[in-house]
Amino acid sequence: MDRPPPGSAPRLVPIWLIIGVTILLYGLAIALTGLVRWNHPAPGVAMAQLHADFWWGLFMTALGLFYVLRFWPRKRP
Amino acid sequence: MGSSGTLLTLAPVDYGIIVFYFALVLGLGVYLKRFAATGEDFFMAGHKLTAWIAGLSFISANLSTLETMGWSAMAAQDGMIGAHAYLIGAIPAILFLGVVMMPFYYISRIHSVPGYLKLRFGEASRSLAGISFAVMTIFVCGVGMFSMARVLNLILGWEMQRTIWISSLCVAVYVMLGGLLSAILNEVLQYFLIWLGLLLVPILGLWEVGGWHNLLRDIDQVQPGLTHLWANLGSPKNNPAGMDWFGIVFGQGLAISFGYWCTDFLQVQRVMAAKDLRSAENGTIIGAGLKMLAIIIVTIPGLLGLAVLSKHGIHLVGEGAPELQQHLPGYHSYNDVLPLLMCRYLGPGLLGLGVTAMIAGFMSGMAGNISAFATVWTYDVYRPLIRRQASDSHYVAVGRWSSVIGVLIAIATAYVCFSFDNILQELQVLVLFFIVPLFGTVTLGMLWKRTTPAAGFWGFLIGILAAMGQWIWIHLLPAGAAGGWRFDMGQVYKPHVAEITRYADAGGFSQNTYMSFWALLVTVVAVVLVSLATSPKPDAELKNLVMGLTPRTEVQGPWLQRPIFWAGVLSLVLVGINLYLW
Repeated sequence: MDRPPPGSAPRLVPIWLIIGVTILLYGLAIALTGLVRWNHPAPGVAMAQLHADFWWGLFMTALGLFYVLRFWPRKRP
Repeated sequence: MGSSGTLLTLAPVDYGIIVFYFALVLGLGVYLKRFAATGEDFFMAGHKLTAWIAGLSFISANLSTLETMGWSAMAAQDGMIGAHAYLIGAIPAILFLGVVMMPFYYISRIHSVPGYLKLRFGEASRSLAGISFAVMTIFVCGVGMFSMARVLNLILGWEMQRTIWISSLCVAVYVMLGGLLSAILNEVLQYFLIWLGLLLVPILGLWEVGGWHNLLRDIDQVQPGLTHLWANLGSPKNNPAGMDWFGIVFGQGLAISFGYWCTDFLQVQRVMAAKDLRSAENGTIIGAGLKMLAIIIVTIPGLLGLAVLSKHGIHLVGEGAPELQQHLPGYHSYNDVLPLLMCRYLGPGLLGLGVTAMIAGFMSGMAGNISAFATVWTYDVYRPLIRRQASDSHYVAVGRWSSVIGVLIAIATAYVCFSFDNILQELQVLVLFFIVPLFGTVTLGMLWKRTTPAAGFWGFLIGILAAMGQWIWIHLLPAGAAGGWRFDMGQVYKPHVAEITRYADAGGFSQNTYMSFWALLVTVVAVVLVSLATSPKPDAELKNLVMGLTPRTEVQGPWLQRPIFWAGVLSLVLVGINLYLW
């Protein structure tokens, strides 16, 4: 999204930041769930021995963190 | 498998993920209201989108849950043929839109595809396209609502009425407040959710079967002949879809695909809202690349359903199969393949993300339809036919209220769909009726300056009637011993199907591809004949609207940033995939 000149219209928060925060929060929730259930996987889930929930949650956390840091609004000069 | 006959059971963390999504989209709508004060902002997102946002939104508007579940179901039922929707059934048309058609749409600074018809052919064509598009969009939205409610009822046991009202009112609020920008931001968010929510299904599935080659081997053991894109399309008798190469190339690849991607305003609106022509063209090309990638989360899960589920006592059958009507244990519809695989591979947390991705896919699909409806209704129906001279703020208010009214009409139409047996068929019938003739008319208008205003109107109308006529024809059945005919939307008359498709046992998808091709052919012939019999517009009035009378707008800059270069790269990739999966 293009940003308007300083001091003119209200400034739109970058969509990538919103997406980053969402992925970060979801990633944390999923990774924590995977950690809590590490020794007690949900019954009936195939390939549970891979602990996909924990690793996928960790991946999402890292991805979300990247977007948040990359697109966090910085002070205007 | 969930309790109480549902496919999935959610844990508290799953509900937390879903509730957060609803709060987020409502919050986004409220936040974006301040950025949607003018008509340009509300209807065209202020023409501020970068190529990536335009491209993600363009493809996300298509990657709805209806789409992912429907094409996964087709892959589970008909095998690799289902992947054509992401290859010849999409990519050539998207590249054509980006490289050939987008300059005309963008340079003429129109708000909608019917707006182009107004400039090229006059008010009558615009009104016909505007009204037919508005009707179609609302109906498609109703189909989406109903499908969402049915799917969530089936897999989670959620009450259908409540699901319809909560989701659709949420959509109404965020589109009414934030307009197209709100719809687009939700589509971009949905794109990430759908990939993050579903990508583990093919990864874990392929892990379980031991890789791609083992998957193909397992499918061949279950049912031979389903692992090829083209090898079994020599005759419709060689594949369960009852499809042949002609239907795929000229029906799906030409008529349906070009109609949908090049003239369905829901799609085109996303890239028309880009900040400049280069972003619009590049956004479209990015969309083509993303569309091809969707095979990973749509077609592969369908194929996994074929290979994996049957080994674990789950049998997939068609919607009308007697096993389903008798509720025999272990039998499920092909349409359930994606939820069944989610249930198999995703535990708590991941399941919440997958279900949220499905809900987001449904809701952003509805929002896309509603925002496109609001634009076309306001600019192509209300302004020219009801109130010509009014302030910009008046039209923004009309756009906001038409969003809400559109949602309410869509709710009312949601239950029209009961008599169809496949989720995707309704959409294709609608594409067939309106979009295919529209593509024939618009393309001839862009590429042939001899096309006249009268031909634009009559060609389009005759095309619509040809499409509807074929559809009615295949549903006309002998009334019985007394003679005569009766119309039954739930059945087809095979001799009539054979007249259109050359194969009496052709399935619904095959019927639609052939009817689309004939509708396009009738449209083109009608436009050409009427053009030759009537007077064209003078060249001066066709500037920037027709090839040859529009200055070359080739995007300059490094070759790595040129749309034509990436269109060439994607074309080569497309050919490579087709050869590999032949």
